[in-house]
Amino acid sequence: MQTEVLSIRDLSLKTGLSQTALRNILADLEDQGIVAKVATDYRAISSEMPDLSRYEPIREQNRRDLEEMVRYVETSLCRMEHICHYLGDPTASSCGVCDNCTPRNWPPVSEDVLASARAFVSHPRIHLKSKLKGTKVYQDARALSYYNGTRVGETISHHKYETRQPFPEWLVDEGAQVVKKYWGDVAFAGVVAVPSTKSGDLVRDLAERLASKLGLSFLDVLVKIRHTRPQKELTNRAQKRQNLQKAFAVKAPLRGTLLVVDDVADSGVTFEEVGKVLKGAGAEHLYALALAKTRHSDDL
Amino acid sequence: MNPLYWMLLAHSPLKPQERLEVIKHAKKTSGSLEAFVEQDLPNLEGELALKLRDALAQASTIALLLEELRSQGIQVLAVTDPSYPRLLKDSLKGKTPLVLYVLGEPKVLGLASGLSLAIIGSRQASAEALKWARRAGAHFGLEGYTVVTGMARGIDLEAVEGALEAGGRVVGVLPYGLLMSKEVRPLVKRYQEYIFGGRLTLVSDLFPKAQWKAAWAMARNRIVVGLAHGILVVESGLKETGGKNGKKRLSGTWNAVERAKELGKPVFVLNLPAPGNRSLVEEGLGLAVALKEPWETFAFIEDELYARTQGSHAGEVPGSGVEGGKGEGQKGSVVQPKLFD
Repeated sequence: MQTEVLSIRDLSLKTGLSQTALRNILADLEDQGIVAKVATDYRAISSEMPDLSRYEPIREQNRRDLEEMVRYVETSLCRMEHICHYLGDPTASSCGVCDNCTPRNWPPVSEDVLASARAFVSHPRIHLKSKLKGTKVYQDARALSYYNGTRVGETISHHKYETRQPFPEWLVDEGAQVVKKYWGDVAFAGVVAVPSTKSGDLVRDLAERLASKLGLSFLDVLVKIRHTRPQKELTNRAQKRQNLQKAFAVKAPLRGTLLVVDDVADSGVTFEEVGKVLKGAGAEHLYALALAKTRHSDDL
Repeated sequence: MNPLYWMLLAHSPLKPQERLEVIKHAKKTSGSLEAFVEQDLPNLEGELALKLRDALAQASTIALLLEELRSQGIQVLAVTDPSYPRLLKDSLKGKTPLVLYVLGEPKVLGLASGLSLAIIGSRQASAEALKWARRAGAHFGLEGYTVVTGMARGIDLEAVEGALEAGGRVVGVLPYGLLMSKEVRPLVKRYQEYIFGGRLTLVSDLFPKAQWKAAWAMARNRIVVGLAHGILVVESGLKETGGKNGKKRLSGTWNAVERAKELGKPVFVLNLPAPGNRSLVEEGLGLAVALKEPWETFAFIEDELYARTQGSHAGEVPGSGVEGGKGEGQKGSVVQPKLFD
């Protein structure tokens, strides 16, 4: 049997599991005397198979809890009464205030609240937290919409995986609107496209059309210099990062503020890696625009 | 077997003679140390009883330590444990460590059949000596000897690598506690495969959290030579060298050779052009081994070692003054050999 001393990061790269999942598994294995911690790393100390039977009752309980939650969601009776019965109080009666007791009594929502709610859902921020030499790689990053269950997401998916035809004009229009709305006073020196594994020239075409709509020049400078796997096939950030290490290069020196365009932003790791390369080539400030953003990594 | 009381005794402030006294007394009155402590030290009085009670009061701390050791996969062998290496016990007798801490397969420490050879030498050795150390490790590892070393830089680690690469078994005696201190960690990281695979066993008699100390490095030598049937010196400096500020530095290799002679173990010295090697041979501390083809050179050692250990009881070296089991009352044997059985 092969065995090594491995860090959580090594394990995460080898297994594709999240760090949280790994920590939980390792804690159990430590408890069972199968692995031991060496400072922050782990090593095997026994070749016994872990006893998995002890998790079966927990899994069974979790399954029952889930069924209970589904029943709560689907009930057409009083929700408070439902919970009380679940918790063992058979005397509870209808509360008169939950949504099922007062089906048509929604409180009024003001236009202001509605507008900001719409904006929040329609132009979600992409959280790009990485820093380079103490300053943020991106000034700001936004998407038009979420990927899952939205018109934007469905359109992207349709074009990317089925027709492979350029994205429709209305997506480019909305993109331009987002740029003007949030970054109207930014003097962009140009637009660059993230080279893609799967989308082929769709992103490049999108960026070119967006640039001309905004009256900016498209800078054909970013290239992929080695093969990478589609990011969505990888399950955690460590793997995603490793997948893109040294994957991009810039063909010509850059300056000023750039708009970086991609179709779908998932973990944000692609934007971050591309951003570092662009800054390395002289770009001063960066803004990122994606057509859609996923809610969770497993959305795609 | 729970080694708790043995650990308490081993790391107590009692003097070695007092420890032996306690063990003898316990054996006589209660049959074993465990029973003696659980019966609340019958018939033990005076200062020794007080000191022992003080030591036993540490039980909860040591129990926690024991749990930490277990979680790190470190085994604790009390001197009465069947896995405790017989050869070490027979070599050191009353001075054998009361507990050994073991990282790896304990069987490697003392295989019932088969011989073990300690390969020792300087930390700063010549390139030629390092080459011979690696060859020696490889040869004896391949031939089924257990190679015993102090896991120090230089000669020790070359021999270790040579033996492990050749598929052999190695015991490393460490001059610090085994509990994953900054010294142990890199060793575990580098050799995890061999430790897990039962081919490298790290061992120490020191308190598991003890840090490296020059004195421990010297004290370790008695265990290195105690676990071996013979000792091979690859390259050594002179017994004493003057340091920069007039302080004398004692050679660890010399120290190990002197311990080996005390225990009556054969010492072989490779005929390398080092002043220490020459001096060891001149003082009659070791048998010079001529450098020929490696195979021939090591075959000479094998023959000599075999001749010197043949006919003796397993794990015992002739000429050490004790014949197994019959040592009681014999001249020169201070402690009864059956004390720890």
